[in-house]
Amino acid sequence: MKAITASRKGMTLKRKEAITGYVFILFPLISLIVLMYYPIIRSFIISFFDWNLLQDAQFIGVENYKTLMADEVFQTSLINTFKWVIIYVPMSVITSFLLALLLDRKIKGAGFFRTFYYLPVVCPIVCVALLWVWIYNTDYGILNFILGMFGIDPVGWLTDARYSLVAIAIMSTWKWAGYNMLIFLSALQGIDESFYEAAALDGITPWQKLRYIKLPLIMPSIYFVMLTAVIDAFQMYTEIFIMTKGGPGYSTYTVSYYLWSNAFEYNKMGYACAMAVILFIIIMVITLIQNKFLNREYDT
Amino acid sequence: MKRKKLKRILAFTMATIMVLSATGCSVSSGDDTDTEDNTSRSAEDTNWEGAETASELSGSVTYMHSGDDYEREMYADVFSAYQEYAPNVEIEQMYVPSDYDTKLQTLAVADDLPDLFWVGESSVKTYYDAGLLSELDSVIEEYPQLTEDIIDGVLEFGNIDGEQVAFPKDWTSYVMYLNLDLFEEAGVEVPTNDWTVEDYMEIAAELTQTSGDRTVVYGTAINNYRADWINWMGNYEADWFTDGKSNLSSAEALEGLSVMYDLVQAGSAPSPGSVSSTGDSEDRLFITGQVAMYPSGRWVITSFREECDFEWEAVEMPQGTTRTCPFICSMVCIAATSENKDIAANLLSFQMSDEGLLLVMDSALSLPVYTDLLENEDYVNSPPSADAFINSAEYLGNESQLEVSQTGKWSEYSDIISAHLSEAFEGETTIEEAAEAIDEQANSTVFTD
Repeated sequence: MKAITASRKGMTLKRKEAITGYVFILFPLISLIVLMYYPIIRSFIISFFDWNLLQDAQFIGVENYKTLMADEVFQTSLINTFKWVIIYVPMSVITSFLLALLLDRKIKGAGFFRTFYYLPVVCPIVCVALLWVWIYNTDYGILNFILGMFGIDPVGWLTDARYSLVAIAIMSTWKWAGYNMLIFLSALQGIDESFYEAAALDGITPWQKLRYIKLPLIMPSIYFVMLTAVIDAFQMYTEIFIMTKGGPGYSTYTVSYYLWSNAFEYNKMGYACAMAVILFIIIMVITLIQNKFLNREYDT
Repeated sequence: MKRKKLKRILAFTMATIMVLSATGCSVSSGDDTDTEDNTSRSAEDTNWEGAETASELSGSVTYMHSGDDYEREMYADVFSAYQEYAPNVEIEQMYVPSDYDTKLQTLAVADDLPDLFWVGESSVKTYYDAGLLSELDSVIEEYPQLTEDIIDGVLEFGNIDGEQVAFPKDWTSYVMYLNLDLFEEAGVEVPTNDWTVEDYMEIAAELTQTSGDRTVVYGTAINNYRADWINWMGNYEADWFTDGKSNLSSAEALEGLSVMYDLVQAGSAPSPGSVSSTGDSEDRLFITGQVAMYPSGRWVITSFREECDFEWEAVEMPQGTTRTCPFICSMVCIAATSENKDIAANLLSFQMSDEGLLLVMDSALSLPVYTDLLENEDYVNSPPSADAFINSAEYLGNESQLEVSQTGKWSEYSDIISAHLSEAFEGETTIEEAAEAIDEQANSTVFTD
């Protein structure tokens, strides 16, 4: 037996497989350490320094964090980020789920509709954002034109601080709903038919079917979608950069946008890193909370 | 066995392709200017003072600049022309079309700054404080033509603590562009260079056309941008930044900012937010005939010449109690770490020579910093007529602009001004409230020293 598993150089098959495995994971591991973990640790260290990139960094302890606590723009950005999460995540997840429910039927042209709803996901965000900028145009946008047909006055979707975040959330939902829809759809279609057959014998209503069969069985997917949606929402930047540049005033400043401005426009790298650390902690805490509640739900 | 061999060959082929791809990626993306041009010129062929020195120089320098593809070609021509005098000098042109400042900072952090590079007039101080800039006083001494007939005040923006560390390669005037067809259509007399702010407001209202509750032509447009702020506040002699503090709440500064605010409130100009929310810009509105008068720099001329299908002209910005033209410029710097400072200085001297500037000014993107060249149509070509541009050289720059530029914090300050003014332009606050908020925020968070 030993003669069969040992190679010519005396290496066992198990060991050979282990080495091959390590070689395969070596490059992703190195890139993960160099491109992900090192910058995270480095950002944490830099957050205790005053560093404008061009001159030597000066250690200032927790000064950046103290300044952050008193920075009104940061506070506004933080509030806006939470507002964004509260508006965007439910809007996006519910829309995706409803689309998945609609497509989880034996209907003609299901493939066409799946592609139709997924199409925005593959469009570049810059193009999508610019398209919606025109849809939202106060004077010539199609949205205000339609509202005008019902006698509603033009709305400054991107120029009025009251609507700008909601307007961007609608655009983002349109852009990304197809992605989560596919995840929900694959989960729904993975449910064994025997559950539905047994339920049909008991005369279950469509609502009961959703509440007692579909929802519990796709809970892992809901957990995944919620988790990634919240993490993405906290890091939202591109849409703001293209559509409003944080305006009007500071009404669409998010932490990520303000962080970028500080790092690459004002050269305040230490300050920006302190913001990144705060954002990291917020995301981590919320993820842990989500993990606790949603995981419990889906364990049951 | 054959299958195993085939696998090996495939693996080898894949590996070779990957290595070749990686090698391909590592080739410098810089545009090496063609040095095999056999044309050569000598000191006798030119009035450029550095020609003789150029012929004796040998080595290579890197030159980093921003701009569009057109500017890339323009500066490639400058370098080719220089190499006719300096056949033993190689120039690596590092053209950065976007995100220039970040890339320059990255090179600075990596201690790999190019020999020559551009820095905005408001960022010179930051690079100077970091000890990254070579002094240029000795360069000016060696090449006195550099400062002969130079416009008053432009050198100051590159002079920190009495030391010249950056040189203004050009500048751009701020003027008012007029759509003459819309003036004719409305039967409004075309203004001349001596017009006032009151005239401007009145004409803007007269030129504004509405259809139902929508405006189809705006009399004018404003930009929520530093050049506009500096111009309007400066036109009322405002010390809007003084003693290291923001002072936009001063009566004079408010009077200047109110011009912009009142135009928007009166409906004579679209709010900057409503324009940017279309993904469009004010200059596009001018080109498409939706704005009759548009204040901007010389950089718009190239696109206006190509795209405006109507008669247009430029006049000086309207006068308040005085006139101020903002100084907008990229300065050329030589890296302190450059090992070829003599070549860099010689190249700078050529770039600023009559011959070098001729290659750049033809584009009409900017203006020469020399008064004698301003009068020369080869350097300040038309349309539009050159008078407005030439005249504005007399009131170029502003003490407040100079002072704030030398804090190295203009970018942060600028974002604060922009954010609060946009609230005012959108009607959420008054201009007084916006100015107060700007001063309060800027003085408590940015200018704390």
